[in-house]
Amino acid sequence: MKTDFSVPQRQELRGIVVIYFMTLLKRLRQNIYALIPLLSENIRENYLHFVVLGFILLLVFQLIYSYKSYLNFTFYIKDGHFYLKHGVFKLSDIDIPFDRIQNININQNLLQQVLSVVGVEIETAGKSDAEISIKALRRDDAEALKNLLLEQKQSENQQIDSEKTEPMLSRKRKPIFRLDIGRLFKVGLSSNYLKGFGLVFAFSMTLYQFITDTIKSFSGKELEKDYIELPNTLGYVLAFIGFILVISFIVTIASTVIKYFELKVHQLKHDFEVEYGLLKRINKVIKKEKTQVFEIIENPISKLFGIKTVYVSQASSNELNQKNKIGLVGVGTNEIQILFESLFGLQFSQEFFKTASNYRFCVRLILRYFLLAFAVFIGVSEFFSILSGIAVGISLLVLFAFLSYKRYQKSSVEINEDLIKINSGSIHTRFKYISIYKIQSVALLSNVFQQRNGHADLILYTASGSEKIQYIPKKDAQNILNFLTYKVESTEMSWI
Amino acid sequence: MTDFQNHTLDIADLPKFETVEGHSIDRAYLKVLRLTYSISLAIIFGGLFITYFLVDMPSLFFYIALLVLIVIFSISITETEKGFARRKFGIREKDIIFQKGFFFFKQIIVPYKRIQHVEVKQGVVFRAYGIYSLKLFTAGSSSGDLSIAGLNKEDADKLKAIILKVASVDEN
Repeated sequence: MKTDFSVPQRQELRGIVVIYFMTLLKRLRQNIYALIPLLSENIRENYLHFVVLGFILLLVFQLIYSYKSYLNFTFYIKDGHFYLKHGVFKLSDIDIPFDRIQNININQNLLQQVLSVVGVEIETAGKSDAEISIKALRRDDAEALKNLLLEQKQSENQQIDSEKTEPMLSRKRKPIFRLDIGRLFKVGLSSNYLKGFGLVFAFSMTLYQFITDTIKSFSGKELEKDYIELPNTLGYVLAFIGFILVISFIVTIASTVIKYFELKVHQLKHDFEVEYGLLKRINKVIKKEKTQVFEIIENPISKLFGIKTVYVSQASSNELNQKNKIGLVGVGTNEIQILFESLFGLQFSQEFFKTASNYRFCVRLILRYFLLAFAVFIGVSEFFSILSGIAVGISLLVLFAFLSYKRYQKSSVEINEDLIKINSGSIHTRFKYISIYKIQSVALLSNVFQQRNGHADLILYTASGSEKIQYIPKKDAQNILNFLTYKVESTEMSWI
Repeated sequence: MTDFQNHTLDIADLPKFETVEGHSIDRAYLKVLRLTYSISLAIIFGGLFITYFLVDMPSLFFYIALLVLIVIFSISITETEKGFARRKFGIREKDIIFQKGFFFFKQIIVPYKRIQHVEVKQGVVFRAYGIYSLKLFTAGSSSGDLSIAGLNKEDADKLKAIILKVASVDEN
C-alpha cells in the first residue's frame, strides 16, 4: 500500500519500542551520576527497595512518555513544505521548505534492524539541532519520502545543474601553490613564535643564573649555606623549564612539518583543492559558494620570512573554531591574491571606509586584565613577599597594558560596496574579509556603560559563525547596520 | 561615516532601523518572568536559611553567601523589570528587528530572506498564560538565530505568516 504523505502521518507503531529504548538509553547516559550513591554499601542495604521502585517508576513513566511522544509526532508534506509536529511537554511545530533540505540519510541501528524499520534524518541548511530525526518508518515509506523530498529539490536545481555539466577542466593541473620544505620549516619557526620567545627567555635566564652562580662561587664562599642553595635549586628549576621549552619547541616544529608536509593547492574553476600531511594525507575543497570568511594572519616573525597564513571558513552548522577552518600556511602575497580574487570575484586591492574602535576598548581590556594581575599579586605576596608580589603584578600589568593597547590599535572595521574587512590582532595581525551578501543577520550590543557614552559592539553573523567589532561609536554602528541590511536585502545573490 | 556619501547611494537616504516603531511583548510574559524569579528566589533563599539553621555553618560564610545572592538577584530582577519595557520587535517590509536588555542592550536585525525556518514553541508555563515563543533560524551556528519569547497567539501567527510569505516569495 502506498502511503499518502499529504495527510499527517505517524511513525510505525512498533517504533514506540525504538523510541522507548533510545530515550531510555539517552536518559541513563545523562543521569549516570545518580547511580553513584549506590556504591556505598550502607545505601545499598537500606534503600535498595526505594531505588528499585524508583527505577520501575522510571521505566513505566518512560513508556507513557514514549507512547505520548509517538502520538504527538506527526508529519506531512504540503505545497513544497515539510511539516512536523512533535513534543510531549513542549509542543513544537516545524516547517521546512524543500529547498532548505540539504540531505536525507536513511540509517538503521541494531534495534531498528530487529523490528525492520529504518530511521530517517533530514539535514537542513540551518543549525544542527533543528535537524529532524524520524526514528521508525517502513523502509519503502522512507525511500518514498526521500524520493519525494529530493525530487522536488532537484527540479528546483535543474537550471544550476545544467550549467555545471560544462566540461570540467583537466583536474590535475600544475598546483597554484606548493609549499617547499624550506618554507615549511619557516612556518614551523614562525607559527610558534611565542614559544620561540619563551625559549630565548629561558635560555638567557639559565645563562644569567650560570654566570651569577659562577661569580658567587668565586667570590662569596663565606656566604651562608642557605644563600648558596637557593639559587642552585632555582637554577635547576629554570634549567628544567628551559629543557621543557626546547623539547616543546622541537615537537611543535616537527608537528607543523608533519601536519602541513607537501601542502599543495590546485585550482578547479572557482574552487580550490587543498592537500597536505605526511602521515595522514588530508584533502579538502574550498568551495566558492560555501566560503564565508577569508582570514589572513601575520606575525612579526612570519613577516620577517615574508609568509602569511590564510584561513578559510566554510558554511557549517556549528560555530567554527580555528581548527575546523581550512588553513593554508606559508603562503605569499601572490597566492593570497589568486585565492582572494577567485573566491570573491573581486580585485584584491580595494578601497574601504574605515571605522576604528574607541580608546575605551583599550580601557575596558586593561580593567579586565587588572583583576587578573591583582589576583596574581595577591597570590605571589601570600607565598613569597609583598615586594615580589608588587614586582610581578606591575610587570604583568605593564605587559597586559601593552597588549591591550596593541589590540585597541589594530581593531577596526572597513566597509565598501561589496566587502567588509575586519581588522584585529595584538602582536599578530589579522584581517578578515566577508562578502556583504553572505551576512545572515546583524546585531548591536551595548552594555550599561556603552549606553551612556554612546558606543556599541557590532556583531555580524555568517553561516560559519559570528564576528564582533568592539566599541565603535553608536552612530557609525547604526549607519553600518542600515547599510549592510540594505545591501543584503537588495542583493539578488544567495548566500550559498 | 561621511565618506559613504561619495558612493552611489547616500547613507542618509537608507531606511533607518533605529526609527522603526517597536511593538511590545505581551505583558503575560512579564508575569512569567516574575513567577520564575520569585520561585528561584524562594527556593534559593529558603535553602540558604534552612541550611544555616539546621547545619552548623560559620556565620561569616552565611553573610557572604547572603550578600552575593542579594547582589545577583537584585541585578537579575532589575534586568527583568527594567528590561521588559525594552523588549520590542519591529516589522519592516524586508526584515524583522528585535531588541532587549537593560544591562546589555541588544538590537538584532534578521532579513526575512536569510531565514531558514520558523518554529513556534509553547512550554508548559507558557501554555498556562497563553503565550508562545517564536524562533527564527538562520543558516550556520545558532548564534545568529533570533528567539522572541512571550508573544500572544495573534502576534505569533501574524509574524510567522509574514516571514514565511516573504521568505518563499524571495526564493522564487
